[in-house]
Amino acid sequence: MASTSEQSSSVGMPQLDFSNFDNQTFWLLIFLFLVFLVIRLLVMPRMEETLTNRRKIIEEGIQEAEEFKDKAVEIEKSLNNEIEAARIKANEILRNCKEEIKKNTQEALADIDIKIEELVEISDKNIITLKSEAKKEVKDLSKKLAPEIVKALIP
Amino acid sequence: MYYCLIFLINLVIELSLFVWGPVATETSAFEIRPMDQFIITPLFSEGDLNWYTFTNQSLWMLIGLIGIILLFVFGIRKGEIVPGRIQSIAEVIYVFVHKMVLDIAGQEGLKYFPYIFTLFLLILFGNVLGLLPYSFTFTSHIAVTGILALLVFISVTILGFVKNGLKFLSLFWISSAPLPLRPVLLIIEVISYFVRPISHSIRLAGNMMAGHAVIKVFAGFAGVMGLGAIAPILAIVAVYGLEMLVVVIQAYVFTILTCVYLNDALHPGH
Repeated sequence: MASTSEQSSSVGMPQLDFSNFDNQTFWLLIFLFLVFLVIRLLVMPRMEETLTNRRKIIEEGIQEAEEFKDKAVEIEKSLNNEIEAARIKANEILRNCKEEIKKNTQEALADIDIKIEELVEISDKNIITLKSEAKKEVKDLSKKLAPEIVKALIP
Repeated sequence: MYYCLIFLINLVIELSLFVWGPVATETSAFEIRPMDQFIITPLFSEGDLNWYTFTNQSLWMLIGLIGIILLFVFGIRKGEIVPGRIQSIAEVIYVFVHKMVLDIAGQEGLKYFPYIFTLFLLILFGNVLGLLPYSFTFTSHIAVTGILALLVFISVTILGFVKNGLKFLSLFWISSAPLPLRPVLLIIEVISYFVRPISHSIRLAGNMMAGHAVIKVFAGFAGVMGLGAIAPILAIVAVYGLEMLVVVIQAYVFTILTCVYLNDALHPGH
């Protein structure tokens, strides 16, 4: 089991084999430096550029959207104003119509009243004449009938 | 909470290693050597390791560097406004670390973002690449994480003194605490300050090592169990899923702690 090439395996933890710490440190520092160079020189400028660009575009979009929103609010306001004006106008027209109808109705009613009165007067006159005629007829009839009745009563 | 869970799991893993270690050495038929995957061997030369020898560890650092270049240089080369898949991944990682530095260390901390991003990427790629079969996890080596943590520790300490002068020492003299308590807190703060690089490095290396070792242990079981190997293989799948989580979280933890230390250096008054 004890092989010469794996002499450190019998130690237990290869991590505690201090003989290669200088090697590990050397390569770690080299790669740390290389990664740092890559990040500082290649990654960060490109990434910042991309992110800034995106942020700018998003901000522009938001600004544009806000402008549109303002515009929409304005349009809505003017639309509401127009609707309000139209409503007022409609109400006025309605009121005018109502008044006209009322006036017309009153006029018509007045006309009808006059006509009715006239008719009543005429019919009153008719009634009076008819009454007097009837009275006259009754008188005549009674004058004619009286001798007859007397004749009949006195044998 | 979550970290406690990981710690417990690691504890179990270490205990199992402790139990199985002697078994592995005693019987030759049932031989599991989970730590062999961490051995550093020279790649292109025979014999001793010199400080400049190109090893399997250096190879995986190189692969990590190539991965970083592929993802972050070729992935975002087009710089599209509406990003594609690769560019989205690169941007999410970039913005994530950027936001982390900004949130924790503030606007002044952003000056040090490239360094922190370098640390994060190297650790992240080291961790994730280490999950490939037959790969080498260079972040599982205490030498590597130790150097990273020491770099952070030393640079943050120097930065603290350069930025704040002797006022940096107010980090240890907590003026918001009652006066009698301050000397006690001073001792605690000084100790915790100098323990930082140790906990910083061992946390990462320990997590990486434990996860890979336990996968290897289960794989060793699977190798000798014949048809019954389905159980250890399922266990490997489960542990692998957990490790996918752990490798990213450990890279995140290392970076966020770096940010916290940087913030302490920039704004030492609590």
